Amino acid sequence: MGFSDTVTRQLGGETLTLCYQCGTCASSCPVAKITPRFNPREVIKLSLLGAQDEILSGDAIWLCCSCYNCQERCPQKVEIADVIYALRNMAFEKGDFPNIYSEFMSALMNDGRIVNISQFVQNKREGLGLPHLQPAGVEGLRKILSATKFNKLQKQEKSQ
Amino acid sequence: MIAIGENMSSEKLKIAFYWAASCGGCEIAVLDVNEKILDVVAKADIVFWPVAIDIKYKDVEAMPDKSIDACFFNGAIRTSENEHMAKLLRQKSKILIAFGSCACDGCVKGLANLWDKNTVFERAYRETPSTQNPDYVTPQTSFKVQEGELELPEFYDTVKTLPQTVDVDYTISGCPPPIPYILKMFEGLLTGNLPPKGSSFLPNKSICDECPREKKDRKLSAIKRIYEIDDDFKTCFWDLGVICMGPATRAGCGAQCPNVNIPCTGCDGPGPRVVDQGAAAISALASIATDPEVVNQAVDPIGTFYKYSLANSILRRKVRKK
Amino acid sequence: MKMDQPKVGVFLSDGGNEVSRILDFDTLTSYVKDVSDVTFVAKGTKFWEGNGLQTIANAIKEKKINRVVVAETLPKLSEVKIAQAVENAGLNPYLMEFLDLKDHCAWPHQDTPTEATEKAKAMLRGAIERAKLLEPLEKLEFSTLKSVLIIGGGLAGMQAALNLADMGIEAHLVEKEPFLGGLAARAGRFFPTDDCAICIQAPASDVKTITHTSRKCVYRSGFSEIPNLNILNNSKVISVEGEPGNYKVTVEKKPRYVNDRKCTGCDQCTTICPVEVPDDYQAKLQTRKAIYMNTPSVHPPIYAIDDSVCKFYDCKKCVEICPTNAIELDQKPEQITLNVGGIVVATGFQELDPSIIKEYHYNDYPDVLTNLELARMIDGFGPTGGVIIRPSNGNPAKKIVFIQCVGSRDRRYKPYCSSICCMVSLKHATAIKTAYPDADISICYIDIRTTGREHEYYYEKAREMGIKFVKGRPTEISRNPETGKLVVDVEDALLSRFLELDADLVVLAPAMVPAEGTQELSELLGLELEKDGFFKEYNAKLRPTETKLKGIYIAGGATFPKDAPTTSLHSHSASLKAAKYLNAGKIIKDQRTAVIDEDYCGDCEFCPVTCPYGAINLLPTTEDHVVARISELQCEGCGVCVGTCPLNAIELRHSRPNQMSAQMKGLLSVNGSSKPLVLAICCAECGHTAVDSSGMARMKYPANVRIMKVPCTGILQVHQLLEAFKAGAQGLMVVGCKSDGCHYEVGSQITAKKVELARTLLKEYGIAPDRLEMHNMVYIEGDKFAEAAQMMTKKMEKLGPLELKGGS
Repeated sequence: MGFSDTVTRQLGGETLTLCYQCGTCASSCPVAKITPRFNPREVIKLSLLGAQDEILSGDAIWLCCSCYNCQERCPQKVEIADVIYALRNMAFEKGDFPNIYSEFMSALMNDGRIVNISQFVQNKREGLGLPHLQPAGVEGLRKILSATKFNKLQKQEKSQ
Repeated sequence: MIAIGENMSSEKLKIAFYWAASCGGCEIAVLDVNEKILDVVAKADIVFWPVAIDIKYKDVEAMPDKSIDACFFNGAIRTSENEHMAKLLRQKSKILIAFGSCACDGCVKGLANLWDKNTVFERAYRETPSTQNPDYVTPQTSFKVQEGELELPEFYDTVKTLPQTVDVDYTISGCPPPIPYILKMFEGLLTGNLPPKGSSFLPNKSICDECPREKKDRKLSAIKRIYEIDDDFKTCFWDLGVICMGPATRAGCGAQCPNVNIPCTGCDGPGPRVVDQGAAAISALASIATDPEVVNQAVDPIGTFYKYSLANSILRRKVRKK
Repeated sequence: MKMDQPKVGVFLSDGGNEVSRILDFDTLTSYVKDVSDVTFVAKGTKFWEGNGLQTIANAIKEKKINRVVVAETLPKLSEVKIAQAVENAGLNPYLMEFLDLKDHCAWPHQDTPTEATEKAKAMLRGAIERAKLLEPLEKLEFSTLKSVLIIGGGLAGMQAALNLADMGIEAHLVEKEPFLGGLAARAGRFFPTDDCAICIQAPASDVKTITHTSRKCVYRSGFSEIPNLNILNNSKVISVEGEPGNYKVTVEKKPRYVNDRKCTGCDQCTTICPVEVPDDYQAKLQTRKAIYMNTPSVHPPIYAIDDSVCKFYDCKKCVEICPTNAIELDQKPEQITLNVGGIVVATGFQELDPSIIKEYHYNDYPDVLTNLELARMIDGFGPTGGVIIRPSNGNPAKKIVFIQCVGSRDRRYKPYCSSICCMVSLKHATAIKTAYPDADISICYIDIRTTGREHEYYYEKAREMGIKFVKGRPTEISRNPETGKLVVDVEDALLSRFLELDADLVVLAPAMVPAEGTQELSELLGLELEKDGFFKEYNAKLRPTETKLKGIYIAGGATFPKDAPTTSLHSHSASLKAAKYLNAGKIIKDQRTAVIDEDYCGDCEFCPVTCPYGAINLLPTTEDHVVARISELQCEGCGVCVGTCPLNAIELRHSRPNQMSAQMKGLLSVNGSSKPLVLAICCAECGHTAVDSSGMARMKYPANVRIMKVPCTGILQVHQLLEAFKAGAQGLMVVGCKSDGCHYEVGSQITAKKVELARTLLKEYGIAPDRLEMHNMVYIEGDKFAEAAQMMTKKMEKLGPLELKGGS
């Protein structure tokens, strides 16, 4: 099975092959306008051509800011942002993803938050008259995360 | 033609009723003609009617052939007794009328053709929760007792209709037959004004012809059960997505069920030219289904389309496993 | 029907030894002789020529046979000739049955000649038994009117009207607007000829029209004076009744308020008229008066009053000034009844309103136009006199950006390619560049499609002229609030570079969509629309301008957006088809139709829905009872209604249930092989020809497979399938056309559903559902048939014998 077939079998990747490269997505994309490292049209084209390694190991797919502008305007109803999510999932399964995601995952497992509660935030809240942030109910969250096998994902990543 | 009119001037007609594999509803339907029955008995003598008159089989056997002017035979042929009586009454009657759905089409009893004698006995004499029968005693055709040997009729594997067993002159189907047409039948017999042999006393049209519900777009995009629809009590069931046997069922009852907001289940049997009521309904359904998926929504095709006519269908019964 | 005692003559062709080499002809002859009612048997080589035809004719005349069964090697070829000979010999040609012992028996079973001979017996038996029950069919004649209604007065409609009128057929041209010309008149010029859009072929009534070169502007063509041509402007069809050949059409004609016999077109009325409104015809780039004419390229050149804005008797200025008293404010709408034989639908197409695509701001920014609006600007007679301006301020537009595929090829709006917009934009861009060489023109495209002859040269010329092409579909048009200039935000996908194109004017190439009112008209006429909303033709390849309703034709853009040459071609085709249908003043067809026994019609009203030709109507019998009745004229004899009717009230005269049953039983009467009997019920179209082609190619399948022909599989009822099993078939194949290629539109699809449900039923009966299969094939798939027949045999062998003991 070719790479594009694999992508279309992923949740979110179904509409990949509808693309006819009109570029509406690219000209709608706020990220592409500021960096040549990401162009949604090119991500789609490379996926269609089967450039698996370039896509899954490269950083382009992680640069999408999920604004969904492209998806809104695509004349072929290619669900571009969702295709990119599908590609991210595939990269994740391979263990090919930016470190920050591992950090997010650990933080979520340990503290129940993706972002740690920094002293900076606490000070700022105090200044605004807001109560200090308390640690979340991690036990309950862990139950959910293990029920959804989220914790296993992390292990898998660590074993890589 | 049958020379029934000749009798009329000289003496009263001799008529008979018989009840084979039947629920008894047909007999009640005869009484449901109410006071009109008096007109019948004024002109006819009932010579045999087990449910009402004490006349034994041997009395019938003793009657001369063709001495009964008309015999109304209800019930299907389930046992050797049913078959014997069908043959006997044929022999003794000038006119034999298959009366009611069981005699004409096998009716609900015909659905037993999905099983055979052994499975029916198994179910009836062993499996049913209310049965206490540790020795699994089942009906035998002969049984020795102190006084001698008893005989019971044989229970057949397959339910048959009356016309499949003997030659039948007329039919009047329905479960039970509709009263106006029972009257029409009596009237025909009493006046000698009878249709050609083989006719039914019911009309040639279908239930739809009598049904007050309005036919609309005739496109079936999904099959629904009755509780799933929003019935406006006006629109044809087919247009609401509900299977109704009306199109494939002979008229006569005046669309009794649709009139009380229940789809027709087909008791009046197939139309006059139809050899297989269920197949006719299936052909019609598939023809108006908008999508191939729709036909897969039709569950229990025999129970739905052959509720009354399995015994009178082309295949008549389920293929028995060897 | 009471028929004579059948006397069947059987004619066995040895196919020039090709059949008799494999099949034992002596056995067959003696078998056939013993079949009851067979009174004459002849062997020969070629029954469709000379002596062969004579043999058949003699048997009819001398041996008094009244049924003809012919086993020929080329039945498809020979049938017509033999039928003619039979008729000449005094026998009704429908009392004839054909079978093909070569392609359906000898060749596919050549390895097993004994079994093949046994199969041939069964085939002959089936044919003879069916032949005995055949009934004579008569020719039917229907008178038709030599007149046609043409709906739509654009290029296609005018052309069709002209053609038909020239052929001596009365043509009634109905146009909803006060002026003819339609979309074409607004287009200015046409590619690839670059001539005026309004130039038409001169009518034959023009005495100068003796040469090929005669073309004329419509306004001076004498169009309205053509004999046989009745133009109804400002009119709308409101009802159509009747049958092909005899329609009664009611047209509502709105008043023009100007007497077209008196108006001289002097223009004084428009000068004095005080009411001024935006001129839609001129893309709202100018205003017009309440009394107006779409100058100059329209027909008729007579003023009309727009009654939605005119003040009538409160003003009356035009009435007072008109020197010829042509203005008649008291004109009333009238209803006109037309009796016509045929109808040509030429309602065309129109631009999609691009304002639904918000990011292009069509309604927000005055300098965003459509191609059709630009065409008015380019037209020297147009509102700007050919000057390309910015509507926002009237200044000349120097930088122009075209955007292609606006709503076309867009699954959110119109998924199809509108097919002409690339050329329209190229035509406009090159026209502007020719007039204004310093214009800066860019075309943003997804793909440039220039598929017609000479079309690519426009593209070439555009590049030569320096028109810029940007491969990319812009995401948005924005406007600089200070300068009012437009900016088109696009990625050039070839460079992966983002461009912000400045523009004085942005021209959109919107999708072309069915003309307004298409849906309404389709319901009025009972015509089908295809999924994109255009009128659906009968067959795109073979009958592009016919519809499944006889007598109703479609021309031009009503079926899909078209350029002028294709519209013209299409219109000629529709005219020809309409003329062919009506020219003789009568339609002759045979009686191979369905017939309803109204005494048995149960009023379920299913058949009118399934009939692909709208040939079944419901007729009231009493106050609340109706019966279905079949129009013999419209019936095509497929039998789909037969297969629908739950009371068996409908039969095909040429394929009655008893005929089918007799043939089926005959085909299953002899096995002669150790293999289980498989019956393949094939439609007479693709199904049967797939069997032919497998035989012709000498593909092999076993002789236990029997072929039965029905007009269309749609005729089959589930009870016939059950009867086939009862008659001895162990497996049953139903072979029809492809589901989207059924010769009778719906038959194959309906049958697939019947087969599906019948399989569920079989399972309930304890019969393996695999004993019944539906196959869809075309002629060239003979291999598929042979393979399916082999597979079916193998499957049935594996399943073992089917023993039905219903009777016990």
